[in-house]
Amino acid sequence: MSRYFIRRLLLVVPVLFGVSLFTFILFFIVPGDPVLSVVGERASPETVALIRAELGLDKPLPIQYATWVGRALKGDLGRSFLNRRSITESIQARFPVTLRLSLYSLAIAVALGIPAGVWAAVHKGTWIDAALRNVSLIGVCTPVIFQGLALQYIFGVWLGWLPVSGIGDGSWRHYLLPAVVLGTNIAAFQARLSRAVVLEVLDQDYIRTARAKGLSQRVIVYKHALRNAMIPIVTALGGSLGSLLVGSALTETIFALPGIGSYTLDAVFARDLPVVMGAFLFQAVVFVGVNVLLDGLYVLIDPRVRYD
Amino acid sequence: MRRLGQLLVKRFRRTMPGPWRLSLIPVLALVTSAFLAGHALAETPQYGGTWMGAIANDPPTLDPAYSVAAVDGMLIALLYDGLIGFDTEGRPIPNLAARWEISEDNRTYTFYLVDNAYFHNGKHFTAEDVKYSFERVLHPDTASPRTWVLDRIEGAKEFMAGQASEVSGIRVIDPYTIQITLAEPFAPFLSMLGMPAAHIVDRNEIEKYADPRTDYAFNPVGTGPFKFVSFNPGDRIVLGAHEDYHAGRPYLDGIVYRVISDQATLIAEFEAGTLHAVGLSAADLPRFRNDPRYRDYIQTQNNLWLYFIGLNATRPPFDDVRVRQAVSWAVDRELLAETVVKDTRIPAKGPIPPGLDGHREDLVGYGYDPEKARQLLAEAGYANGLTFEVHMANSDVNVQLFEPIQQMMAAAGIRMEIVLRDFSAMLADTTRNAIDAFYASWGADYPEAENYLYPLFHSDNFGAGGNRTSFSHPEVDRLIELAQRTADRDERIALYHQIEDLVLEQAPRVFLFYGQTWVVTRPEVRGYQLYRIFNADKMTGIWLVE
Repeated sequence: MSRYFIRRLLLVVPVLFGVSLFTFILFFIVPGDPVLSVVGERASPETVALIRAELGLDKPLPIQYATWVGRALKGDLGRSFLNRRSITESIQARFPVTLRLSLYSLAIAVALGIPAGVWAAVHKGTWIDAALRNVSLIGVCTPVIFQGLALQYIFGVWLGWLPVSGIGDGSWRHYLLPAVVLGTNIAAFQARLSRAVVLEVLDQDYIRTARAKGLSQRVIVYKHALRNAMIPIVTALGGSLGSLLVGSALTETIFALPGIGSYTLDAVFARDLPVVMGAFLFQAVVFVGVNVLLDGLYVLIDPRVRYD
Repeated sequence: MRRLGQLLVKRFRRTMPGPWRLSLIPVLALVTSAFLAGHALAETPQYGGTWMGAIANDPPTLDPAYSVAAVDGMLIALLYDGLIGFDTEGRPIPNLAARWEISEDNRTYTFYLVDNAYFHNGKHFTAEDVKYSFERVLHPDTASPRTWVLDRIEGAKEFMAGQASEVSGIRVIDPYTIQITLAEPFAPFLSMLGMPAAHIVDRNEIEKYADPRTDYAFNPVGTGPFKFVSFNPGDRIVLGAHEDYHAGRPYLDGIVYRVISDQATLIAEFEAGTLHAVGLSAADLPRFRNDPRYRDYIQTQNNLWLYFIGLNATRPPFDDVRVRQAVSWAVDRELLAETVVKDTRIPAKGPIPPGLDGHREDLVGYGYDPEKARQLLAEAGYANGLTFEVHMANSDVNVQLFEPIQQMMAAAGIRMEIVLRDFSAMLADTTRNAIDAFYASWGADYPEAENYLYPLFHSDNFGAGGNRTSFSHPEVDRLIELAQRTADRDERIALYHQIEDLVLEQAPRVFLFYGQTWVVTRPEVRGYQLYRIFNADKMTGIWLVE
């Protein structure tokens, strides 16, 4: 099994390489000059040339890329073109915000989504099932922008219970609304998935056997059915966690949270090449890392899973 | 300065009272607030309280030598001082220079400095600081993008080329007098001294860092009314009152600017009572105007933004002046201002916005005349109609504005196709002369008509210099240069009018609108004023009622 994981980890290298190369190429395919946002209008051609050289943008593209890779391999992601801040430090400052938001969102998704799905499956065909299905459909369909605005007004402006946006003193109250926005979207998806999976499991022979043995509905559902339904549910949750951890640019922007998502988005708009490269690389590492960990988790959930 | 893609970039402009105005501001504030609040009792300004404001994005720097964006210019005006400041209308007023004299030949400016200004580190401000700050911007090692602000000073070119160790045109007469001589008369110079790049820094603070560009940028020390406390990127920037401010301690104890880029979030924060003021978009305005809680606290001011369609004069079909004129005749600006951009834009007649010397209220400009447009097109060989693409930043606001313009153009036999773009990519294309027409805006770096005419229409400034339509006209060039050298205000204004008339006739841009700023403040705010130029507000007249 350790051989499997070593192989997995070795495969990560070409993935990261590919992501960085793709990002680099894409950056230069899209027209726009990164120097422009640094020097503004009316700078003399000499100044523009000077800044271009200082930022290394005067070199041929393959050399620029090779230089970047060389530094990145040594763990140096460089500095932002725009504000000259260390990118590693910026990521260190911003990732905890995204991490907390992700964990809160996931907790909300698990707490709401899985019980709702199981409950709907158990009450298949009843009004409970129909109601839960419709609510989750609305949850899946509601745009983040609308949901965010509605929550901001209800809890921030009208009731005054929670801050409208921002990180404030860093307490959980500042994370709650954005976590609800992200969490309910995932919960809605989780509910639909859990319902389908649990229904499928409940149709299996061994459940019929369990019923025939006279086991209670509670034990059948929670001990036998749910455990076997966990693999697809965990897979989906892991996927969600991976997407959450790379940062939700839209939610972070709406809620003015200084996380990885808004950091990346701002850098893309400002044509801040080293930040775009560094942020994408970091996100790729996180995403791949989550997936590798998830593979390990399967072994714990399901003893039948073996890696060779 | 920067043209803006309306969706992506939200910029804020605010300002500064000089020493002599300071005593007036509380009085004005008081009159205004008494009037607004509907009670006649005079209020005495109170010290204390923290202003809660918002900026749309992180400032890339707080070092005057590298400031090119509006957000850092606005903050630099609070942290530092220039020799001059601006009043609400954009006229130069005393700041670190208590007064000044301009010589007969209009080349030598003598500034008499205040003797009671201190940097936030306690160091006394003198004329040497002015000399250091200006030479620093011009020094080749600094690599400032804003050398053009000061390079008209005599000897600046030699200094920049490394041929001189000092700028000969900057002379310290005594600790409180400095004389600046220009290579040749340049009328807008005084206004340019209000730009961020001409704000005064303390040599010791810069030189203590091995790499100031990186390390000084967020450890700024100036003489301004507020000092730097902290900056958490993406979250907030905190400023505190400068107790020894030369024009008197500000009423506010401090300022917190939160970084919020979403307009809907800004409005929600304001309504939750967590921001003291917020800019209103065209979409927000009707609701606030009709709300009894807010309608008495709304202020407006013409700002110095000019919105236009640029037509590339070197590429067919717009290399023919008749085609350019036809397009100018084919837009009903009045109707757009009454409907689409209601109350947030004023129809533009020419390139010089209201509030600047040289603006003419009675200018006729182009009206909406589709027949005339057809006729001009027919003369230019487009009797069967004209088709062109107009490029613009990808935003809903732009689409809402241009769909009606499409209809207006269609009535004149013009088929205009809208191309939505990434804004910076579009700008890059204009620099390469690769597109025929584009929609953008131009805001002033300093409040002078020259700041529109020279960058936008002089042939020295193709591309990033500002003349993105590659418009070239020898007579326009000559008149602009003449106006720059003309110190007499009336003569200069007459020249501006001549230039404006020529530009209108040549029609390299379709002038659409001038901008208007709307801000709503919380009821407890007193003394808040809107300024035409982005870096004029020193926030020293603002106070909060308990």
